Amino acid sequence: MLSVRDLTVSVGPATAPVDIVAGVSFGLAKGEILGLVGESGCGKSMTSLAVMGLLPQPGPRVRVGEVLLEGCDVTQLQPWQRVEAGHGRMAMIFQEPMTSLNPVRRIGDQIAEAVRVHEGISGAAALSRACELLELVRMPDPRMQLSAYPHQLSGGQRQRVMIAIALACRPQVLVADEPTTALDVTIQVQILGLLRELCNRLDMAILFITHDMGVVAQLADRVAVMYAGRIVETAAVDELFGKPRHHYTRGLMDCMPSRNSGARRLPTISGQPPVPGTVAAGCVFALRCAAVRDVCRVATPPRMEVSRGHEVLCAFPLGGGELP
Amino acid sequence: MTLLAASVIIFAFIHIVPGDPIYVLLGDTATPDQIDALRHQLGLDQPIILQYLNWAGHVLEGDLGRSIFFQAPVLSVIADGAETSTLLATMTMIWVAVIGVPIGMIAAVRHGTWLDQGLSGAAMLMASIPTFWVGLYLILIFAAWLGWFPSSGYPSIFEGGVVNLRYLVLPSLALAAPNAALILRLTRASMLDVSREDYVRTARAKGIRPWQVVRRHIWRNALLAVVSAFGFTFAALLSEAVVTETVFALPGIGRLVVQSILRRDYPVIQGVILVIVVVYLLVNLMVDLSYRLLDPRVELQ
Repeated sequence: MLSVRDLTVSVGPATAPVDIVAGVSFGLAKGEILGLVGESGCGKSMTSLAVMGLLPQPGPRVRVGEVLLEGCDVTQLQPWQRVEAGHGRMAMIFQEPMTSLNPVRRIGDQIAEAVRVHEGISGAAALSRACELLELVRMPDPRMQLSAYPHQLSGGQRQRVMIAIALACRPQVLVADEPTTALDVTIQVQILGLLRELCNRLDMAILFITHDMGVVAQLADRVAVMYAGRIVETAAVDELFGKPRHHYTRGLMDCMPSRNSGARRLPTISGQPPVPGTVAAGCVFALRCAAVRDVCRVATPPRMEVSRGHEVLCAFPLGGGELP
Repeated sequence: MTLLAASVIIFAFIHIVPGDPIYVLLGDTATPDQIDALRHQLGLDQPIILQYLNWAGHVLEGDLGRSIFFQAPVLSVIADGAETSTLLATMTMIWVAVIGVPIGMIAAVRHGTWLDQGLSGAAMLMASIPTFWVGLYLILIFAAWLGWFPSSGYPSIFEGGVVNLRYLVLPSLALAAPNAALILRLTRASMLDVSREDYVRTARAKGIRPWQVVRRHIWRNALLAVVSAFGFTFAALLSEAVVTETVFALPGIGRLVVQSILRRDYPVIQGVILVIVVVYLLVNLMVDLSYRLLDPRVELQ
């Protein structure tokens, strides 16, 4: 459905570009939820914006790589250009439902606007489709809400409106950039449940970006762990949580509080992620890795398939599989 | 409340300024008896507090008093100048809106290009040039050389018809120049601010065309900041009008107030300033009301 190959997003002058996303590749199958996890600043949001063609301008740009939507190259295309080229069936929802809707326009208008673009209908027909979309996202009293303004809705309701807007293009791929981070835990559960349900019902693939391992475990089918602009490990969700192979993934899991961790102090990964552009050679995680060896500091680690569908970017992954 | 404060301040300041209307009226040759008689007749021999209360009482009844110089009711003196000033202010605000807002939008949409830099630079220049200087050059070019517009004076449209509005073209342009430049820069800055908002990204994500994003999502939101600036612009205009009306010899309220100050015509000064304060308050009330139309988050109490 969606295939991203060697995506590299850079900032700075063309002569000395600094890569904030470096050679990211992943695929997304029909109806699949891929969780893209990583800490703040690891490039996961930039990846999602680059896939959507929404990188802020002027600013970061896609230097290398391609984004294929159903086999069609949509790299570098902004959403409106994608719609014109006939590849409009990809949508995005964002982290901040409070600021992501235009405060001076009615909800119905804002949904109908997206409907008009993708369905070529207008006026009352677009509004009634907007109402259907609100029903689809389980908005209470959808007909009334069409004429409401964003400030009259709660955060969770606004995120539902954002999802309704995204669904207007009947998306095959939904990019969700931390859609529940700004919400209460109870609302978060509702929205995650809704996304899962829509994914099944509409056969829609979701690229779910988050920093929350717990959310990933609950929602995703597959997980890609990002660190310093690279995907360091990819696996099916059970496999990844059961048998993490990258030292960073392992570190992240150790940081997660669990019911039996009691009052114990949680372990942390020491140090800070590298500033983009400062790692000249070797593994980006070498500075913080507990199992670092000399070769890690000089040689770029290989991408290894340690088992079927489980890739890791490490020369000495956990649980063996070392290079001969 | 604002009106009360304003009226006290006006009254106090006028009487602090040295000078006496009696000498202006009677000249140097008046005898002390004549002076005393006139002073008593005008009520200027009373304590200042009583003078104020007396004046304020009449104002509440709709009577602004009599002009010492013109020997006529202040209200009719002001009414004579009001036509010119109202038309001048209206034309100026129209120029400010039709020049400042669209050009500011163009500069913002073409943000970072030579066009934007050129327009912003020109705006900076216009905002820094004094109104009287712009006025003199407009007269030089469009009145003296090209002869397209008259250079001074203003016969009423009620006597000569609407064509007389041409007398106000140059003065209103001179008055509009610095204000349009400010509105231009504000519109541009406000559009750029709004274009970085999350909801603009949402709009782009929907797949609507860039200029539709500007029209539907950036423009109206950016206008909110600009509308409130119109209130301030209007205030600036009131003081700048004094200079412009002098340069173009227009029989407006600005010139009236300057001349009345020179003549120490207290009732006229007080009356004019009171009218200006009222107009200013009304304009700002209108600005607040228009907010209600533009922004659904503002609820009327």
